[in-house]
Amino acid sequence: MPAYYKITDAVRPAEERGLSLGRSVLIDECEESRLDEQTVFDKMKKQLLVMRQAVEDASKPEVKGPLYYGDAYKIKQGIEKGVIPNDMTARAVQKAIAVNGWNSLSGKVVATPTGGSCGILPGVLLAAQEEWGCSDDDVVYAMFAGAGMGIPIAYNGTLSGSVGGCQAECGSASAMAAAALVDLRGGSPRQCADAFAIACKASLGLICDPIGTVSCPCVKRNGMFAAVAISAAYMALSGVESIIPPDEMLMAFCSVSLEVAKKFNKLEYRVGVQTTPFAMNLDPKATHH
Amino acid sequence: MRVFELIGPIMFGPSSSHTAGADRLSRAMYQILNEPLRSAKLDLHGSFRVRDSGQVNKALVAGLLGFDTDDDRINNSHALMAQSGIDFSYGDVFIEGAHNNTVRYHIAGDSFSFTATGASVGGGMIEVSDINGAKLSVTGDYNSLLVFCDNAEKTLEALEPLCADLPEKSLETAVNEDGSCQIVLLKTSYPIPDALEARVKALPGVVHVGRHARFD
Repeated sequence: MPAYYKITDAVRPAEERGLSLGRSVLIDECEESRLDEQTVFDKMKKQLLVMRQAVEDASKPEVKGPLYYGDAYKIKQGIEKGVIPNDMTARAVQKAIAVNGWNSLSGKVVATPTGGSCGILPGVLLAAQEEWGCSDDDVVYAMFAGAGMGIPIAYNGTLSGSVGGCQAECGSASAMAAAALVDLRGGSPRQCADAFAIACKASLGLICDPIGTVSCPCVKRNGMFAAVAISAAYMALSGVESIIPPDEMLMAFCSVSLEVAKKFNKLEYRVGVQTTPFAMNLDPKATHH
Repeated sequence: MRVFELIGPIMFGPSSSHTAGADRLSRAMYQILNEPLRSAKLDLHGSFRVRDSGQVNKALVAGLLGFDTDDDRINNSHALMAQSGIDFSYGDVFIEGAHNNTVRYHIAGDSFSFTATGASVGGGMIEVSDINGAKLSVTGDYNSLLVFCDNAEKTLEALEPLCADLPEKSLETAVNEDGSCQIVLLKTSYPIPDALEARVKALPGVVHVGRHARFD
């Protein structure tokens, strides 16, 4: 299989095959893993079902934790009561927060690409599925598109918040989700790459500063970066191109991630949210990367 | 690098390094031992230096029992470990330059024991980087066979014809400073047949054969 060292390495085979990015990534994955298409597809589909279950379980009123105040239920109520619009973005934010809130409470989730960022891609895709009436299979192909776009980040940078800041987690997840959403809407592989590159610009330099069990500010960032992913995808689907070529944006993204984390992500001292009096007064055991 | 490292694994929250990765790191030890576990001491480094029976600890214990990342028994792993009769304990360690999420394991079965160092490096990915002082790299990217022997060069030569049919493989040796630990490491994207493991075990000079399965 062609290794996806760069974004182009995933996009070019899709263009040559005349397939959507998601379908092309699936073919490459089968080659890489020596597994048949049905097996690989079903494995991803199983993960979609876990994501959907997490949204359902976590949107109930009783789901709360010490640093998670039942936000998914509150936003669900906000939508149902018409306080905020019942649109795709609002529902994506709600679902992203549900899944990541569930993660913070040690619920069963799918690392996407990590636990700390696991709400973003499911939030975006499940909200879009409702909005556009897509089949589960379409969503699964879109998941392959998103995952394919994430691979070059793992090669050139990192997906770990403690190594590359929150940018490595929520930033990567939003760029993957942007590409996945373009794929779900029928955009070209190149448009997926543009959405990826545009979304990358939103998280440059974001530090990892969690308190609690990956609760604050992680859960809310999942909601906010779901909205980033949607806006990047909307731009790309409308023909907006990333001025910086996606491969160049990838490298800028990876290098700033490692640089910022070198400066700010040390176990020895607190950063960002962790430096607030509120956080300082918490049990120190509750604060770790 | 595969798509399921970007979306996956299915795991319990809150952090893929602290649950999925911790579980997989311990599960690597379970597979490398490749026989019933009798005792395990885990020296914890960096942010893994917690013993509050929280998610990291549950996952580290669950992996030693062989549970995968999505196994519901993870949440009950301490009780199951206590019932198992395995001699289990924690210690502290500081390893210069090591990843924040590092564990040094002291593992023993009935016929084999070893010390190994590995880290949960993010997104549920792991790397075992040292066994008995021999430097190597065991990750979830490949199926691996770890052949412990008394002469790695000779065993490598004997092993080559046995796995001639296995496509896309690599064979390397890892030896510690005083030569007391000699390992031949076979990596491949393809499944490693049980029959091959049995034949390798029967080679002269082979002390122990461990495995590590690619993450799927």
